[in-house]
Amino acid sequence: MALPFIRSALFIPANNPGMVQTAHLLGSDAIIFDLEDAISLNQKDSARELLKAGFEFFQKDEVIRIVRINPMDSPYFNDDIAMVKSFNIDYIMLAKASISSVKALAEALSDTNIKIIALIESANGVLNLKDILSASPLVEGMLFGAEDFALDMQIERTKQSDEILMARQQIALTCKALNKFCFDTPFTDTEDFEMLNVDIKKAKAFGFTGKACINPRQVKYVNAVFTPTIKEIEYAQEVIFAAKKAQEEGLGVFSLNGKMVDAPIINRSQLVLENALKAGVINE
Amino acid sequence: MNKYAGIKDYVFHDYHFNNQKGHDLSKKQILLSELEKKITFKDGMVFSFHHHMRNGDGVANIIFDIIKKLDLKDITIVASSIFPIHLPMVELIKNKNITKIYSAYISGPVAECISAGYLKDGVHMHSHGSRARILLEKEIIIDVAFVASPCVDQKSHINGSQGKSSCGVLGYAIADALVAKQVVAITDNIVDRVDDIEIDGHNVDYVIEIDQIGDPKGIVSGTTQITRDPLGLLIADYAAKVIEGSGLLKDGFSFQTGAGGISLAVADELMKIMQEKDIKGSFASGGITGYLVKMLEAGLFERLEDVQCFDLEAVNSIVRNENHHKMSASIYANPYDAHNIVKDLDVVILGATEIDLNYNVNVTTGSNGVIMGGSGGHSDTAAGAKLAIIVSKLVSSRISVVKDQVTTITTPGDSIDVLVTEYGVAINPKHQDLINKLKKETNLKLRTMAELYDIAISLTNKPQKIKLSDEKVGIIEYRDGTLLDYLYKVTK
Repeated sequence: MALPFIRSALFIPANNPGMVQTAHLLGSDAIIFDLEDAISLNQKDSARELLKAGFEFFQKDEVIRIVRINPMDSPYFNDDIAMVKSFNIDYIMLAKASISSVKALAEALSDTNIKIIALIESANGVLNLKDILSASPLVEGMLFGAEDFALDMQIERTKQSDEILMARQQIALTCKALNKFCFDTPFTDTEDFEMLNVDIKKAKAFGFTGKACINPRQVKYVNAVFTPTIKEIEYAQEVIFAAKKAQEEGLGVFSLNGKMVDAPIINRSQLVLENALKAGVINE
Repeated sequence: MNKYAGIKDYVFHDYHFNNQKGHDLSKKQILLSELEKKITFKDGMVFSFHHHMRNGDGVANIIFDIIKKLDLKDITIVASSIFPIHLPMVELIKNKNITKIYSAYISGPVAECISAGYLKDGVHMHSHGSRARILLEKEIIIDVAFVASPCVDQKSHINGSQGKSSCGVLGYAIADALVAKQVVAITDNIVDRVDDIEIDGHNVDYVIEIDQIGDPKGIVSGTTQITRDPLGLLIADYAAKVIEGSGLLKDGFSFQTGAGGISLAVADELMKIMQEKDIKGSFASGGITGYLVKMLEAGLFERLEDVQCFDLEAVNSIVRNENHHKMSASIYANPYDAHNIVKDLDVVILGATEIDLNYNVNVTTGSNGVIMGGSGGHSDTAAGAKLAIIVSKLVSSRISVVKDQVTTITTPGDSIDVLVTEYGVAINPKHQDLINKLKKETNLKLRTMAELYDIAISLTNKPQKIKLSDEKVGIIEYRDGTLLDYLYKVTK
């Protein structure tokens, strides 16, 4: 199954009419309309109602819609599901996802086309990631929530993020093995774009497929890093061209600029070109 | 409309030496209390003011007090702009002391008073360039120009960039000083010698020293800031892509932008592109902000051509940077001045209160039909620049900027090239080559103006037409002197 192309996923508080109305314009591949942490306890109902009205009024366009709901151990979980499952959206993001909460949500969504993104934000979540992601075929990907994870681990969060190195690598490895997309944790300093850039590049290097944003100004930085570069595209085009030629000549493995090219490199080149196409940096 | 009909070189000496007093300050300096004896004030006179003191102006209201005290009637005010601080004019308008106004921009209670129909002979709104033309062509004769002067020296020379009330430059006052029958400089700073003469002492008849010619807080903004609004930043990003895609952004590039948050964000985006691609522009012009100073000092432009400083950083720069030049309103934008700068502009970034399906722009009246601004340099720069770009949110406070027809035409659509909004970019169909180029080379959302209108209406519903009376309260004159539109009395 091909993974959706989501470089950036922007959090928007679901109780802000202006932001709900214009979020799709801000350049992110996906919007996460938040019913959880961004919404105070006395505004949970009104936020749901606002989203409902918003999704009914605004036609769905190319931006992927995600709604983050409250965790199963909160008093809002069932009410969230009851209303959100009727929305015209692509995914529900489940806060503090566990095997049991994923199963409960999947059962509730069985009569819809909505799929699930697991939010992993605890030590247990990281350790059990494989089982959580496998708890239902509706789960297509996950988001790493490093702030709550650090709280659970009782460790200090830093901009360098050395403290979450292992968790990040383990998450990326697991998701790759299960063919799930994985969003990296948001970078919380919304004024430091230099370190944001460092952080995004790290996430990409580990194997994350995208990154969550908590400020619209972060979106273009995330998109830029997760968009194939001109150099990558040119190399991929060379590989695909040479692969076609090799195929015509009946060669399985061939050499390009003195380096051996085989199926994994060809597949990766194909993916680079597909992503470049989806990002709009090349034409058909 | 012929944009540059009748171009000619102004020989400024034709206008000089309208008094016989020479330079000597001691022969010209008088007390404020003596002014009524020196000037023969009478009904029907024409007084002029510049607006470099903006909403901190402490000079015009002194003269309005005299008009009130002497109960002068049928006075014409020729003020380059009028701000809320000029509230005392309202009473004078209602009492028929002031019966005619010429201005490029009016906001606040005076604007509301005019829209309510109180100004007997109506308002004549023009552009900044037009004002220089009207004065230098002597279409109107000024009896007395009252020049708020941040610095006057012993030879009566004036400049705007020295002293506690420094506004940087006096570009809008130059024509007044050249053509007025009498020139009265009002200052709070007399020095031995000014460094940089803007108005020659020969043109000055009287100098009056007062405690304070203006409130520095109102004269310039402390700093001008780029917008932090994500949609504003998005619009700026799109605008920068349009400019880059137009092919104009190359060595020798010339640029003008206002002090609005989105406009400054466009400058910020351009700065990054110019640095990345090692592009050196020729000049940036107009009202100058700290952002343009930053670009000058980073070597991205060879020079700044400044008719008005918008912030403190610009005021400070004009003193320290030799390539930060002062210019008069005539050099800036007078269509009859062969040296006008706006005709050499590649790109100008402008705002709009309304823009219609024919690209006509209104920056004069608000959504209720009441005057709330004016052209300033809008129609001048739009006419002169190769690419005039309007940046605006499509929908703001549930009001669409795109209309089927604007309430008032400030700038004709023929001179507007692009509208950039958060919902996409509309390019004037006369630029089919640019449309094709941007379609091919960028992923910008290109839409027609009608498509943007439809999107806006789908969000706001079709607004009711503003009800205006048939009674005219003024005219809008285009920069070449032709009539562009009328202003109407607003019914309650």
